[in-house]
Parts: sequence; C-alpha cells; structure tokens
Amino acid sequence: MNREVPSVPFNEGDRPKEVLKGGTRLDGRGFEVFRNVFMKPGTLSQAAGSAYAEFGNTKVIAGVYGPRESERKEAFSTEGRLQCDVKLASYSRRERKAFGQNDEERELSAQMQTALEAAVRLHTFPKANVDIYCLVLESAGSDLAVCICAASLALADAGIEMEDMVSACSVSRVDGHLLLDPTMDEAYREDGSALLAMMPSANAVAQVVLTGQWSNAQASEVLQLCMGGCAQIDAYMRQCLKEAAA
Amino acid sequence: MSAAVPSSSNELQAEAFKRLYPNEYYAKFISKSLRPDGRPLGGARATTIGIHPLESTNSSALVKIGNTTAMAGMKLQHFAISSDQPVEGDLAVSVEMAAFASSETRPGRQSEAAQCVQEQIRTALRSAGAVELGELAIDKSHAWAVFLDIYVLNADGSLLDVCLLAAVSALLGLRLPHVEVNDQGQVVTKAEMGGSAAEVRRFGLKTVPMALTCGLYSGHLIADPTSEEETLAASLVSTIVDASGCIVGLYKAGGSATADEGMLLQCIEATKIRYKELMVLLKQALAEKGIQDTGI
Repeated sequence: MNREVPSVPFNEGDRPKEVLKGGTRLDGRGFEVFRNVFMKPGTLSQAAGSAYAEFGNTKVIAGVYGPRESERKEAFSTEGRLQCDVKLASYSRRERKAFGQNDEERELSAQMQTALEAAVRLHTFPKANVDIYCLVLESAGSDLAVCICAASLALADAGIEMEDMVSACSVSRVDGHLLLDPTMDEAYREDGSALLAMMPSANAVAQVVLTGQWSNAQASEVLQLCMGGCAQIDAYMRQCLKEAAA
Repeated sequence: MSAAVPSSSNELQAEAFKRLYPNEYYAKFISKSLRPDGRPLGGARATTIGIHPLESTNSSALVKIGNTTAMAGMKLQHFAISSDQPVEGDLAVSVEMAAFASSETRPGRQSEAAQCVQEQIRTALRSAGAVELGELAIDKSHAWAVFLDIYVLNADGSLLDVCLLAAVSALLGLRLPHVEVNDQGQVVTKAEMGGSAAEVRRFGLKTVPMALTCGLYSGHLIADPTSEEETLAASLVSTIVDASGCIVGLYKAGGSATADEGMLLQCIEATKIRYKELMVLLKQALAEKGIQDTGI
C-alpha cells in the first residue's frame, strides 16, 4: 500500500461507559461465574501437542514442539528450556494490530513462561528446548489466563512431563466488585486486577499478578476467588484430556 | 529390562519402512494408483468452510482442506482520497504462518512460503480484477481500506489453495457498514446521522478465483498434496482459475523435474473440476449464514 494519507480505524459504537448496570454484568453473568468455556486438546496435526481454548469470545490456539534442539546457540545447561511466544492476531482486537511483536505480546510471552516453568519438569530434557506458541485469534478479555490454560493442555497433549497441570484465571475489580473472568469491556473499566496461575492438585501457586491497590482483606478475598476459579478450570481440563484419550 | 514390544509388529515395520525409505514407501502406493491416506491420485482432501467464526473482525472465514487450516480475517479502515488519486478504495493482503503451523516455522520473520502465497493471492484478487476497488469508495473524497490478513494455523501442504479459499470466503461474507461523511469530514455511521443502523452494503466479487496445487511424482499427477507428498514430489504446479475457467495464475516454481505442455494442461483441467466442487461447498457455507445475494 503506497498511499500518502494513512487510513484510520473504523469502529461502530464506543465501549460501554458502565459495565455494571443495576448490579449485574452486561452479559448477565453472576460476579463469580465464568463465560462459556470450551477446550479441546489435539487440534493441530503438525505440532507435537496442541489445544484450542475458548472463554466466551476469547479464542486461543496453542501448539507445542519439542523437546528439540534450540534454534540459537545456547550455553550448556543440565536443565531443559521452555520458550514461549504469544501472538495476537492482527484482527483479534477492535483496532487492527500491525504485524511484528509489540510490547504487550512480549509481556504476555514472558508471563506465560514464568507461569509454566514452575510446572514443567525441565530436568527431564537437558540441553533441549520445548517451544510453546500461542495465537490469540480473538481477544475479548482474560487473554493471558486463557493462553496459560491452552498451553498447559497442549503440554499435556504433547506428553511433556509436568508436576501438575497449570490452570489460570483472572479477576477485575470494578466499582468495588470482584468480577471473575472479565471481558475486555470490564477489564477496560477496572481499577484493580488479579491473575493467578496454580497447580490445583499440588495446591501450589505458580504465579500471582496483582495490579492496583488492594487492602489485605480484599487481597485474600480475590486470591480465594481465583483459587476457586482455577480449581473449576482444572477439573474441566482434566475431563477434556480424558475424553480425548478415550 | 527389555523395551516393550508392540503387539502389531507389522505396523511397526511399516512405520519404520516409511521413516527410513519414504520414497520407496510412497512409490509402492503410487504403483497401485493409491495414496497413503487412501485417496486416488486426482482426489482432493475433505474440505470445510466456516464463515464468520470471529466477532472481532468485519468478516472472517476458517477453511480446512484435510489438515491444512487457515483463518482469514478482515478489518476496515477509511482514508481521505488525495486529489491526484483515483476514487477507489484499497485492499491489502497479508499471509502469516502461525508459529505452530509446522515444525520449520519459528516466530519472528515472515516465512518465504507465506510471502509467496501472499503475492499470489494479492495478484489473483487485484490484478485479475476479482475485487472492484471502485466499489470501496464511500464518496468522492473518502474510501475504505480493507486489510485482509490470513493466518496459516496448520501447514500440511497446498497452502495457496487453502489461503485463497479463506480469502474469497471472507471477502464474500464482508458487509460494508453504511456510512456518511459529515460536515467536519469525519466518517460516521448512518445511525449517528439519525438513520437506521441496520443498513449495510454487501461487497461483491466480480469473479471468484480458486486454486489447486498438483505435485508431479515420477510421471504421475497428484492433486492437493500433503506436506509429506510435497517434499517427495519433484515439482509443484499451482493453478488459479475463475468461474469461466480462465487461468488467473499458473505457478510452477522450478523443482527438480520439468513439466511438458500435456502435464500443465492436465493440471488446469484438474483445477477446473476442483473449482466446481469448491463452489458448491462455498455456496453452502454462505447460505448457512444467510448470505445468498453474492452473485456467484
């Protein structure tokens, strides 16, 4: 395209000004209820392991390759390496994203890596790499949590040894209410957020990210809510794997 | 401790034979006019088309041919036409391999294969006149810029066929919102001007191009090869035709074998037959979403 005048995005309608009308969420969900969750392992034929995850309109595909040789030259290590790359599709948001990695994708990749590193038994593949790639086809809120769940399911599908499955969920605080699994519009109006990735069977927390100001009481409340959410997702993920194996 | 012995050692031997001697393995099938996945030489894989799977886009399509999968999505932007430019919109096509599409793809730079497919699709849509850019004008001074982005999700051969089908499916599903340019020169929807928001304009294609890739393997023509077959084939020929059977694009990118005229004619004929199959599927997929006035 060699136009002198750059084009501007066209959006029909603005973001909703209020996401809690009369104490209910715009999609009619309870505060502590997930959107419709759907997950399926083994969706790609080329990858060693893969999974598709959908929370409401947030749609993510994850693919796992390895253990395999690293593409770059790396120093010797008795532990294996986990390499994560999360990409947002150019059309996944309201406004088109240019190709090439942006800061948000770098951040998502790094966060996903730290969340999963805790669970993967890296010493079982010394010197080698396991590559985890996520593509967010549609980004409609709680992207990172959905990516972590999809990646964890893909790792299990690839047969990579893990201490436990990792499940994740996020919470937004809007007008003092804690909203589980927030949509994009809800997250846009939040004044605080929480993301928790955990290994429910081991009852161990892999990653917590709290942003905004939280009192002690509210912080423990939000962590309880997240833990409950992770347990629900974990049960669903295990059921998905069993169904896929059957 | 001894390694576990699989119950069906025949199956193991076949798998080992395939790994060690892929060419001999494949030749045994071809000599019986069959392919390892059970297809006849000229048969294409099962194809599915899903229109509008994504809500964040103005139009989208998910296409699967066998295991090869591509997702096309479109975003609309608008721009002011400068006075020395023709009154028409713009269409930008890009093709990207998702990092997990195959074991060779890595995140980062656009792969060579994706770049090739991108150019072939761009030419088929723009130069061959499938897309009428004049139709993308909003008024004399404003027009739509359409960004058509295609992600290859799973690369198992015949990328061009899948990506082009995804591209035309998404284009046929595109509705242009009814907009006007207000006094300040801003583009606003009819609803904001006090009209009905439901009004949309369908964007038509003058002709629908579709592609078929064929592999040349020791004198045989293999339609719609998988990635395994693509590596074994001595050469690949991709043909793009339109509804009238005219050739919109013909690509034979080198390879270790040359093709004679008869071979190329066979490829073109096979593409015309495949075109009819695909058109039926495309019409069905569009009808499922209530899209019937496409004029195809």
